[in-house]
Amino acid sequence: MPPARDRGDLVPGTLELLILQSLTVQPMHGYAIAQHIERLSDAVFTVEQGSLYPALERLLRKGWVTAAWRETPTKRRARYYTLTAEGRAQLGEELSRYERVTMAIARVLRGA
Amino acid sequence: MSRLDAVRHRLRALLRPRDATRELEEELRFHLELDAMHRRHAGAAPDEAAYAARRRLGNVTRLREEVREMSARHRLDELQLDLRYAARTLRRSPAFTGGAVLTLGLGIGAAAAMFSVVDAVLLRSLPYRDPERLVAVWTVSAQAASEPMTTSPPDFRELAAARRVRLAAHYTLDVNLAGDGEPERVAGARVSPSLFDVLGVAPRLGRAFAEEEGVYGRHRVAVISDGLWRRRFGADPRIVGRSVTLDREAHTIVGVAPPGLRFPAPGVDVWLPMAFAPGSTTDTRGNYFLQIVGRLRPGTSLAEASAELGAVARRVAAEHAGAVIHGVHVAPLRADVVGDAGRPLLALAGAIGLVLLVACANVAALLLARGATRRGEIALRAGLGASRARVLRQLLTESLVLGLLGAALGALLAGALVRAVLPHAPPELPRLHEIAVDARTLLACAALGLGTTLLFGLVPALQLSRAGLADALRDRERTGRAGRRTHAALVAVQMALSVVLLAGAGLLLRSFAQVLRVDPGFRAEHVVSMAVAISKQAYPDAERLAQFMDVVLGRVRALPGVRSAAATSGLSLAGGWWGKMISIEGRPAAAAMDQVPSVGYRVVSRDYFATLGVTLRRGRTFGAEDRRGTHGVAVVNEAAARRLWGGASPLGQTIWLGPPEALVAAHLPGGYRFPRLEVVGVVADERFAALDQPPQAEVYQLMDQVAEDASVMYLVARGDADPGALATGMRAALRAVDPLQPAADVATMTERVARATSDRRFTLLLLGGFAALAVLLAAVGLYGVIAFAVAERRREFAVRLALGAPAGGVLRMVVGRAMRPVLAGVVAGLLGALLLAGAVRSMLFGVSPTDPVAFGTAVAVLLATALVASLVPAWRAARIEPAAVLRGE
Repeated sequence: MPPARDRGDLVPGTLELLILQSLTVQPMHGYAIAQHIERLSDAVFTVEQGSLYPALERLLRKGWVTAAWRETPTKRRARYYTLTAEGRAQLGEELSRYERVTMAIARVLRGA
Repeated sequence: MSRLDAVRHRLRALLRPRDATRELEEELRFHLELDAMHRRHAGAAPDEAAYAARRRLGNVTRLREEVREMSARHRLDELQLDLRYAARTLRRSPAFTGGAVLTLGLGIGAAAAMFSVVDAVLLRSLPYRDPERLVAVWTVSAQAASEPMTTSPPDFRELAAARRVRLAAHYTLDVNLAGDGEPERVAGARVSPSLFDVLGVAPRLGRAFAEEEGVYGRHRVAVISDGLWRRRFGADPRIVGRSVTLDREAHTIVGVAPPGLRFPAPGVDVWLPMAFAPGSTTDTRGNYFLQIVGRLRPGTSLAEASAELGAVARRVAAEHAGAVIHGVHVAPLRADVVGDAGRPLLALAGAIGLVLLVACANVAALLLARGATRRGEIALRAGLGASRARVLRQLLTESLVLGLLGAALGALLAGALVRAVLPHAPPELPRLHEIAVDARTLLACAALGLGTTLLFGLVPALQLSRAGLADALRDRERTGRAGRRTHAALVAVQMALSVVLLAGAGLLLRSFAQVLRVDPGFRAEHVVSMAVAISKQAYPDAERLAQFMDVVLGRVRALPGVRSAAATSGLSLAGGWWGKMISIEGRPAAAAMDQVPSVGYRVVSRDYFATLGVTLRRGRTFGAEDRRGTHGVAVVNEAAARRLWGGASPLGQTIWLGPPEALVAAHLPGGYRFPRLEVVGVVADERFAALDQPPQAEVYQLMDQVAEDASVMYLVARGDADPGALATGMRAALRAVDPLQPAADVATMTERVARATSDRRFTLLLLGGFAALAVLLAAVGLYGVIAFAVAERRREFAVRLALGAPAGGVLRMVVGRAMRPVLAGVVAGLLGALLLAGAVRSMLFGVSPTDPVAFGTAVAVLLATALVASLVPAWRAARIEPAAVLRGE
């Protein structure tokens, strides 16, 4: 299988960040997270949905999210993921780093 | 908090994998349903929606795999799978598995057993506190500086004043133990009171000696050995303070030594303080019999102690003219304990190392051959998606299982081998009772075997990248040139090692045969002998001793079946060596003491030569006309005749057993002359010390005519009766005359002769066993390699045969190709054996280290074995049905 980058998909690390970001809104189940990311990025990022669940598993093992089975509004059973304090902190760090990098790139490009 | 969640999640995945899987399935199902539902709401047909949802989700199998692989449980499961697969694969090829495990087990087991023996005897440290600080101190005389000797008591006292090292002296003696049972003769030692302290050994009961117990009068105390305490006193916890009779004197037991204390010799059962009676002639400067052990004080080196003691020695030499001591020789104590056993043991250790290498080479060849046949299977697995790491891991597991099985078998064999061999070991082997399989040694050997297995088991997987996938699958890939060369090299190595071992065994065998052919000088059959320690109190002079012996001998001769009986002060292959200087009348007197020749000396009863069957060569032996007070006579042996009379007849010559009186006039009472003896007979040489040492010049004197008494006499009797009954009868005769005189060292002369060769026999047994093992392994290895090569080239042979080649031609071709590495190995092995020959020279007797018979036989045996080993697969190759093989492709 060719590496993720060549597929025009997200590098696993970034996917995890996007998931974390999505969960700051509210606890969601897997499908909802996928929809959320697609919608917000205007479908620029097509998440290979298959890589969502391994990413979620990784987040669980790191302790950045927790999961619990709950009832959906439509009375179905689904596994809801919630952001933990550690996850929130991790997200904050990554976001600020991302901003710094982006601003630096922007400065360079603008030639300022 | 999050940490806890993380841990909880991981644990759950590990311990309840099925729940985790179920949950993921449910989650995925939910995802697909929801997605399909949204698509249906957007207008798609139901099955189209479902299909699209599934496609959107992607490769579910892959996804499940990915999630599962994250769990540690997965790794454990993988390991379990690997193990089961490995077990199955190994079971499916029993010949290979059995062969490899057996080879490894034999090599590791034999090596571990042998190395453990070497370790216990040679390498393990002595059972004393800080044994590296212990030294042995010897006197060095001016005349014989290269031969360290024992020390005299006054000299010891001077040396003991040294500050850098703490000394204790000791000498062995046998004591008669009586009271609470049968009188018993035990090995004992008289020691400085400080000995136990110097050695760093604490008694397990009671105490060691106090300083004042080294003073005569207060010296009747004893420390007994753990063995004696158990054997004779029933391990009585109240043994301390009990009285026991030693050499007819009452002694108090003050302590029991710890088990395993074998100082100064194995078998010492009682330690007594060294105390000389005032005016005793033993405590004189001219009497050299003390051995000295010392402990270096902290911070002192051997060289420093040696220097200080050497200075003392030189001072003594200066202060006392005529003193023998001129210097000292200080050496670490260890060397004394091991003695002569070192060289043969090391040779055996080297031999077994070779066997282990042969075994490893064999296993390597087996693994390589097998690996080649499995290349197809491996390629298939890789093609199906197994990662290279996975394949390697699986092969590794297989090799590991194989190696561990081999190591387990080796451990079992090592223990069994040690237990089986130990009873046959010569009893004088030092520290025999400490020999057991050593864990470290076993681990080292097992590690070597395991390492070989792992290394050569992984080769086929490592070659995977080079092999073309398609070729491998079609099994068209054959052992490349490098592979064939490796096989050939392994065969050659095994053959070379085997030649070396076989040659060594051959040399030892020939030496052994030569030793067996040696004429001991007496006729050993039907003779029973025993040693009797003569108590000085009961028999203070030679006359009384002779009377005592005569009475005993009279009783022994009366026993049923006894043809003749005699007594002697020195018995061949047993003990009682006595040396004396000799001078011959009518010859120019020797100018100095060290030019006076010395001979072996035996005091014997009248029937000695007849009883032992020593052949008379010239003149006569002792007869009824030789009595106390009559003309003094002596009998000499042929070695003495050769050495002192150059082969001319010594009959009628007058000798005396001492130096020319002029040389020692100062030490002799005025006008004293040594008794003159007339040589009346020459007898054949007896081998006294060992069969493989040349006979010494000896002089025999009649018991009735000597003035000196011996401390030990041997009783010998020749008879037709059963030896056990005869021995019992002899003991009874002895007891009837003097109940306090125990007998010891009871053995037939045949047993003594066998004992004299027991060392050699044992070494030969071991080396022969190793050589046989090596040859077997090499033959099996060769067979395997040839069989494999034949199997690979079956089509080629089939084609040849189909085209009309004679079957004999195919046979010759296979055998010829097989023998090439064999011959190379044999040549290399011969060279190696020739080079090593010099190293084992000291173990040989009557055989040159490059004996052509031994070497020739070794080569012949090996070539014959190799020929047979290669003939079997060659035969099969020649009998291939060409049509069947070609069709079967």
